[in-house]
Amino acid sequence: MSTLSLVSGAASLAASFHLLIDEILLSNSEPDMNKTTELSELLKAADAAHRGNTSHEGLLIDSLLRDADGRPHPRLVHLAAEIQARPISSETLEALETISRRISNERTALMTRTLSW
Amino acid sequence: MVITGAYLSSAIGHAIKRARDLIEIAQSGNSIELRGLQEKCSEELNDVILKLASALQALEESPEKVKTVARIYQVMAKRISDVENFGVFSLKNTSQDDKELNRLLNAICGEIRYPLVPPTVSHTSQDYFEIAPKFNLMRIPLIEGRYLIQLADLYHELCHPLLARDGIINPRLNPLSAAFASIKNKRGQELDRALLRGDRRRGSSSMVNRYALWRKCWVETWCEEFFCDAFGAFCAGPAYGWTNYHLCFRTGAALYQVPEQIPRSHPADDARMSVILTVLKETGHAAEASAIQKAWEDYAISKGFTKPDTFDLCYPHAALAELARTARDAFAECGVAGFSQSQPGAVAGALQDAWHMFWNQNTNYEEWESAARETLLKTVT
Repeated sequence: MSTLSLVSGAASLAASFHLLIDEILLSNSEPDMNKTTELSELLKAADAAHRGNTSHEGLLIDSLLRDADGRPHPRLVHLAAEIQARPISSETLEALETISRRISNERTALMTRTLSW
Repeated sequence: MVITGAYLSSAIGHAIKRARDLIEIAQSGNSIELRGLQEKCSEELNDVILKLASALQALEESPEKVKTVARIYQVMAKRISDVENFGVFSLKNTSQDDKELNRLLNAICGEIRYPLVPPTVSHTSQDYFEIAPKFNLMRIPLIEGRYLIQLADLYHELCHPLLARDGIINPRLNPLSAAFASIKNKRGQELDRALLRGDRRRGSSSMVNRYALWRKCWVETWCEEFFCDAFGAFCAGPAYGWTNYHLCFRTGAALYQVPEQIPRSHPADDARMSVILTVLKETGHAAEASAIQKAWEDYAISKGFTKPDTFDLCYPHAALAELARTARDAFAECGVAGFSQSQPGAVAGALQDAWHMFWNQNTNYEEWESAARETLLKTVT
């Protein structure tokens, strides 16, 4: 019933996603293939959200990355493919950096989301 | 950036020391009821220490990565703080009330055939009933376990870990996971279509923004809260409906709230009650549901609460009813035992009795409750 119960699941998932991107960013342009494959799958799952048939993780990531008008992030499928290249291009790393910052802010906002009206 | 790098280097070292100190405290207790929590805290802290050490090494090797290391440090600092505030705090502040309540919670989990390891419960909440699925730790206010009237909310909290994505490995939960994803996907699509319609009709930008906001709320937290309410009604029966009425009356918050500008963690209380009543009606408790509904409507009138025009757009009745039925079917498919009026479990039966006695003006409820709780504790082992 409290806010903790409700936001901790979503916030924990957002934190895992955020950490996954940051671990890839830390490993320069030659990250662990398992990690980029995992991220690639999550980005594809998020892109599938507007088709109404995706996982819990995909739905949440898509939602956290939407803009104020509800428009989904436009480049998730491209990014999913681009992070599988070696070395990962600097443009792609920059795009990941932007997503990471966004998720970090959204995660903080989730934890402070209020119950009171 | 050089200054930030130097700061981070020391801050990470300090965070590792704090995590190690917390592990020492977490390991020091010897109560059987708390062993699961001790393990969870230690595992979490060990993982944090490894990740911090790795981030520190990356910072030393590539100082230009300072921004990424800073974000990792912040996430890990939050995790340490969570272990300290929830897990270790509960381990350090145990009481006789905790032991008794853990017995009750274990009995509830047995009665409803709960598909996961029962959580540990502690009287350390500064808020209301809450659960941290990561620690499998439920917390309730300081002396709440001494009374029966609000304990149906334990059932609601038990549902959150069933919907959490971390560490769910019991295949019994597959139908619930599929139902939960299906409802979230469907609601997301419905609101996407509403958003598109608003755009095409060149509706006001505030209405388009509102649909986007409602979508965010529904997908990120509201569906989960509605499922937990459905679980409470399914497992605890009418007592859960009365408990929800009691909580809403006590707080006095408006019942028909619709977010206008910022996301809200919880949906409106009236929408939640609608899900609860649907589940009660669909599980053979129509008479009790009707009594709760009457009390609810009477309360709303007495407070002068009225529905805003946007209420039914934000919480369409059909969507709430579909969610309630889908959740009820999924719980049954997972093998969770719903509340049976004719053969209630010991705890669920005591909670129904509590509400019957509460409404009975000829009874001294406090005396009855105290005796009933004692009897219940003797019944559950």
